[in-house]
Amino acid sequence: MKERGNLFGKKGQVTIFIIVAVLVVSISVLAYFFLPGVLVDLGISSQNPNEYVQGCLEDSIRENVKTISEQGGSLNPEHYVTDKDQKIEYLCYTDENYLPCVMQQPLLKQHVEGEIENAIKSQADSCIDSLKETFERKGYTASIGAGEMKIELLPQRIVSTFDGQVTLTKESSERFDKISVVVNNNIYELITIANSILNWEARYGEAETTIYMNYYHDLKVEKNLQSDGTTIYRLTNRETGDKFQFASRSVALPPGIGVENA
Amino acid sequence: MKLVKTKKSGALILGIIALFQIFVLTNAIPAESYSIGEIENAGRTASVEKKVPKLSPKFFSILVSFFAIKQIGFVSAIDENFNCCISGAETEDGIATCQDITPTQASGGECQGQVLSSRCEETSQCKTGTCVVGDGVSCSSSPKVTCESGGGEWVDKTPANVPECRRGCCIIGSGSRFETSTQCEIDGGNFNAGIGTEAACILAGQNLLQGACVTTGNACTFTTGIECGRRSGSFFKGILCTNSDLKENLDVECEASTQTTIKDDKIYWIDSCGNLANIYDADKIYEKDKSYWEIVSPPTCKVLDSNGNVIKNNLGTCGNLDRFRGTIAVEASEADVIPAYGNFAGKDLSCTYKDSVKNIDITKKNGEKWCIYEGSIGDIEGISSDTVGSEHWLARCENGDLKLEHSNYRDSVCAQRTTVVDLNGDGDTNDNGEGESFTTASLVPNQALACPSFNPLQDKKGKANQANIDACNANPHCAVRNVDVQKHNGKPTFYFSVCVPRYPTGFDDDSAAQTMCAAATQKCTQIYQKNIGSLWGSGSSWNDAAKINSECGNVEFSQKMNNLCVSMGDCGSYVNYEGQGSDNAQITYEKGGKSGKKPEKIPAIFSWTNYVKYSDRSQFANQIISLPEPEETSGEGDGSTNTGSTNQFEDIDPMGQLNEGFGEFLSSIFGNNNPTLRDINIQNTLGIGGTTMWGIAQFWSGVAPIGDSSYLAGYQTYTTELAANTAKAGIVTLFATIGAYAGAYIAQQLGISGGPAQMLVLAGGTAGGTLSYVYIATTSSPWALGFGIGALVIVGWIIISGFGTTEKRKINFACLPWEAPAGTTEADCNKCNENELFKCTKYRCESLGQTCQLLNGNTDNPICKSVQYENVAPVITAGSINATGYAFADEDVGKSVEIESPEENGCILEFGSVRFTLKTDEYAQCKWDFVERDVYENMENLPLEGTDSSKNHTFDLNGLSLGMLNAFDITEDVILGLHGDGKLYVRCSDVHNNINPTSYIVNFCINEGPDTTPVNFDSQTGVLAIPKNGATLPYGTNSTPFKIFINEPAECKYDGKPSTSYDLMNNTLECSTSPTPELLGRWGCETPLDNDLSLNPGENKIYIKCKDKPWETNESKRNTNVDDYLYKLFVTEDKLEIGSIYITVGGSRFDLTNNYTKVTGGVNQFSIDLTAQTSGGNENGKAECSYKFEQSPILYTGDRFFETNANTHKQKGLNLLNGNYNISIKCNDDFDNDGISNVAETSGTFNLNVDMSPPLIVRTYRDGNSLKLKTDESAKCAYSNQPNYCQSGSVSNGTSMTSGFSTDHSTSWNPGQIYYIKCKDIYDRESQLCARIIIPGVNVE
Repeated sequence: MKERGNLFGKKGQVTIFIIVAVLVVSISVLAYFFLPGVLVDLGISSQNPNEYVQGCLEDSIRENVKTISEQGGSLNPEHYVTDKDQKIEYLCYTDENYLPCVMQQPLLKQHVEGEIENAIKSQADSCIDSLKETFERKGYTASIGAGEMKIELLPQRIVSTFDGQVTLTKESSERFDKISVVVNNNIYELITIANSILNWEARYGEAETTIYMNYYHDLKVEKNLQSDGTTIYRLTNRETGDKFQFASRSVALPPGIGVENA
Repeated sequence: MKLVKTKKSGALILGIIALFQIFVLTNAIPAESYSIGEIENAGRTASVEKKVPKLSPKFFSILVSFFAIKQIGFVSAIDENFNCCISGAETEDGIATCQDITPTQASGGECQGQVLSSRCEETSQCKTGTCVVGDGVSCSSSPKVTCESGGGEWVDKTPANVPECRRGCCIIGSGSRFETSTQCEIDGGNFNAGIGTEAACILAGQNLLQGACVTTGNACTFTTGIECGRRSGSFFKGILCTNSDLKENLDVECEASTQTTIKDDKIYWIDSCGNLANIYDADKIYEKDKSYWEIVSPPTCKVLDSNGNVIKNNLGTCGNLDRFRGTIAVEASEADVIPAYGNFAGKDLSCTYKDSVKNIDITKKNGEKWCIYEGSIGDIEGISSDTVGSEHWLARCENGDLKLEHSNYRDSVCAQRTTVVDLNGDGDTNDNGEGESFTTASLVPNQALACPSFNPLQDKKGKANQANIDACNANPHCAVRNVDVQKHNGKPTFYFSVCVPRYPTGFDDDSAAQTMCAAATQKCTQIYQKNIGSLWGSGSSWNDAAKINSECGNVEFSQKMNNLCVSMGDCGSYVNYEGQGSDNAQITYEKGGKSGKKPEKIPAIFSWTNYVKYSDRSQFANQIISLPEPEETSGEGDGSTNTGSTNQFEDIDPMGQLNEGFGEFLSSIFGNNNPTLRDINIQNTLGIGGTTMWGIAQFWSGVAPIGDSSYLAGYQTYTTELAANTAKAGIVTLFATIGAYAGAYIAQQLGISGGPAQMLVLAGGTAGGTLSYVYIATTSSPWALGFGIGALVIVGWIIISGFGTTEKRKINFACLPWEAPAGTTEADCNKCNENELFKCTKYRCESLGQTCQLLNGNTDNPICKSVQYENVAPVITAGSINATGYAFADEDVGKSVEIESPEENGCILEFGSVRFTLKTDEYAQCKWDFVERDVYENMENLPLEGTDSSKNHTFDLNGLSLGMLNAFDITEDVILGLHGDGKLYVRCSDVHNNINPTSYIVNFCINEGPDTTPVNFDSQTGVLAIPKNGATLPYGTNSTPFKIFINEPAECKYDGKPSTSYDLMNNTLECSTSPTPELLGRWGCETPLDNDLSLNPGENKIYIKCKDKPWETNESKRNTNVDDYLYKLFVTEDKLEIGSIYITVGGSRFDLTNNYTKVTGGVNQFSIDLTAQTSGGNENGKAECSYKFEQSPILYTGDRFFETNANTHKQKGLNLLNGNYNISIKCNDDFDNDGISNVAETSGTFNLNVDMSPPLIVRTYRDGNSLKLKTDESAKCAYSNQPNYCQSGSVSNGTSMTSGFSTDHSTSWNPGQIYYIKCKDIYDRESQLCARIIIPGVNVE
């Protein structure tokens, strides 16, 4: 028993402390290099600024696009109908009965692009700032020119482009004229369909939507007619689950005349 | 000469005066005569004497204007004075652009932007055109202002007419998109403008040339050349990867297989590498046709015949499917087809139904929509012809299933459009097989109720209101209905136009029907007149026919009025969709005044039988309402419009008509001997007054023409003679006029009109003129005297005889709501049920007959039934038994029956299940019980159909045990413990509430069988418990009511310790042990969880056991749970609290307490963010919070926080006025919506005092050599001597008058300068212009 007790003598304690210290340092180093979250947060997952910004900004874009898509293209809808606690922007509206609606957002794609830009702006700025810091910590001389983050909706994807010039210099110099983040999403296609539906609504009233589903089998168009004459359209890509919903009030019947749910 | 000249001048003046008098008097006469003659015009147009009752609901206000034909001056909608709010129109849901608002709304500040005085569609900024973005990147219908403010280019055309917006097919990679050329360029595709439809473009994308792409390692992929290029492979266009050359030369090792796959809704062979090969064709397996595996080959097999019909036998052998033409590739099991190879087969998606009118099978393609009507629709032969009870049906083919939707009382109309699909995208749809028609349709809101708003279609003078007519015609759901009954010499008298619904709606509301139909109630006023017979003393002889509106006595009147009546909606004499009808109009009359006579002819009601044809679908099978083209055309509706009347009343010349009467009269007196008076042209030219004076002049000229020298003898000069003669003529004319006036007055007083009235005027005038002439003439004039006396005699005779007296007699047409036919039978009502295509609705059913009533209207099985009152209870008889071997026996109809099982003793097995039906001889609702109840209402159980009325009633006997029956005295005859008899008592109530006085008894017996199974807590769909198992209760809960449902009657106990035997458990649940279950076949056990087992924060576990058969006295036969049933409840450990609430104004945070935190500031525009923070609860503070204004300067309502469902809850952008506020906040954490949650409440107050005004200079004065100012608040002031300082300067660039901020400001007094002064307060609020301009010595001494 006494010999056993020597194991916990002063020398032994020092040894244990050293071992513990080594373990702590090792675990920290491992976590530093291999835990993705840590890496992304620290911003050194890649030598490529594109990848860095992609990792930094992608989730923000996805979340905001989802919110904007489900709210009729606006981050903070100002003229909306509430459905299941969700605000859905009127993209075509008339307060009167029997009359076709007036288009409220004719430049829908551009509007959505702007909304996404606004939504991610602070995060994008933060990512660019941390990009510089990160690379400087790694010994680079990072020069980032003035620029803005622009959003472009394209078929099957959303492209976010920072148009400032990024130059990284260590032993050699590498220049990036722009930094792009690409997120796969079908909002472009959904907005195209929405625009077509809205054109119909603005001219004739409630749009006929089966034809769209006949043409595009991966598209689901749902119409929800409200008692006040509002129609909520919900467009869904069956394969990706991407959604775009919006409201329209066109050729509405006055209350009490009778509403049939579509 | 001078004297002569003077005399000449005086005579000339006298003459002019006399002529002026003549002019005035002669023109006064026709004016008065005209007013007399106007009496005749009373019957010219329909007089609407029945006022539409005043209705308070807004809904009916629109109807009030319906019949504002002429006299009722209602305001029509299109005349309503709308303004256009270009931006920022406040709606219920927010702010909208380009909205029409009323001036009241505009003045009330409901438009935040610019208000224009016209409707939006009439303003340049809000007119709708096409917004073109980026040379055609996107195009949309848009108001100009919205488009241009967003940077788009606005074009005053529809999108289809803007070249940049025309779409074509953009081939992108291996796909295609139908879009504009500009967008295609951006997408990097190849644009093909020749492909003009979306469908053709999709097909074009699918038909892109593909081929084998051989990449590194001799791997082969079947793809497009573009894609192959991206992969840096070698592309072999049109070659399959199974090609033998590839195999030999490039060592590609892809082999043919018998596997298939689906692509683009077709079935393809796949090779051993997983690549697509050619379209699946069972005859082309490799062994049979090697060449089919070499190159891309067009399919040779077909699943459609030459007529486009599906060849069902080929669905398993041919993959050449086409979803546009009704076939699609699916899993073989889904298609219910066994494929020759692979796992996929074709599915026929088309729909076929029987068209009962054409007696043919009609096949529709998948996705097609089309309209079906139940008879005539719309405007036919001057009637809005939709029959009563008919609906507009929208049929659609949905993956092989025919589905129907319908309007509700025709509140919507079905419109359809058929297009030809260009299948191969070459723009040619006429070649065989290249184009097929495709129909789409929609139920669009029926705008029938908007049509009345376009009335009146004439103004008060009868002139067409063209704007309203155009608006009515422009609405495809409205029609102009002309009621044109009476024509008088080719000109209409009883005539009017009304805008009516083209597709009238039905009524589900009696008051609506009354109001709408009453709008077509009209009165035709006929004018009768005493005729010439009275001249000869034959008494008061009246004309047989009315002079005006005589044709209102003809059937044409009742027909046209009924047509109008029917057009209102379900009104008047009309038919239902089965061709049965009723007369619902009423024609009455009002007798004339003096004669007391009724109109000579009263038309009969125009019978409903005249309208039967409108219910015959076969006669109107080809009617459709056109659905507008989506882009290409601007056509609206069916385009069938009625031009209405534009100038009907312009053609009427009232004077002409009056003169005509006058001419008739003259002819009757003078025959044709007096050519001057026969000349109708002259009469018409001169009018009555002119004619009169012309006649007088002729008369005078024939006797003593003015200027005749013999007549004027004694006068010295011509001018003197002229003056004297003119004066005499004036005097004579004056008396003639007085006489005429007297005649007119008499005519008016005695009600004499038309020709006789004019005769009185003429006779009076003649008498006055001739007698005055006799008086002033210098020579005797016996002929003149004779004329005068003769005229007086005529006047006297007209007065005495009453000749020409008129009176009105009226024919009233009352339009009444349509009533269903009386005397209907069950067979009549049953027609609603028998229609294979159309579901029976309340409207359709009740239109068939007075006794028809829809039962089970809210179910999927509605039934139309004749419910003529009777007082006989339904007779119950045995139906059928749905259990093998079971049968009814010993039935005593209406009294009892017995259920016999296949068992030897005929009893139902214990816990066995038997489903059986009982029938009633009429539709009835039934109840049942195991014991006889005194009244029906006390019976507790319903058959399986619930409360539906039915003739078949289904019952389940299950879960019964002899013990249970015995325990509750349900058994009457327990036979030695082997089996027992039971009775099931049934009573039914028909629609008249006739109920069986005694129950119908279903006798049965149950075998005794050992029940060895204890209570199964989870026997069906999980345990039902309240609160549910695992629920979380609010913080501080130490007791709660508890109830659990079990699958059989039992006694139950619970304990806080696990594995306690039933007997040792101390806590007892109160259980229902009745023979009938409480809820969903379960029996409830309950207890409060409190003293015996109080709840603690955190997890609480309760262990439950039950012992069944509570009625069993022999404990050994009872079954007890061995295992515990574990029930858990959680009690929230931390209280949900609202830690802080605060508002943020201009970046500053103000924590709210109940002490009215003062919030001050000086910003110009501000909004407030309200924030609350929560902690605790069952989700660590996560909660949903709402706020409410308990106190505020103006009434605000509360709302859920915009950002909530978290620990921090934020409502941004509160726009508040200055004042005191008290905001209460309530939060809860019920996220599973079970009604159990932690709730926290608090409130906070604040006083908002935001300075929104710049400082004011309240005093200016000179103090020695200083100019001094005082401001109403601490401020900094500065001045300049430059006048433009007021506009462009600021305090910061002026000469300061203040050190720091102060209410006192000064500078040196300098009389030679002007001081332009500006001030700003501590919040930088600065007046836009100068706060004061001081001129020393002038405005400050």
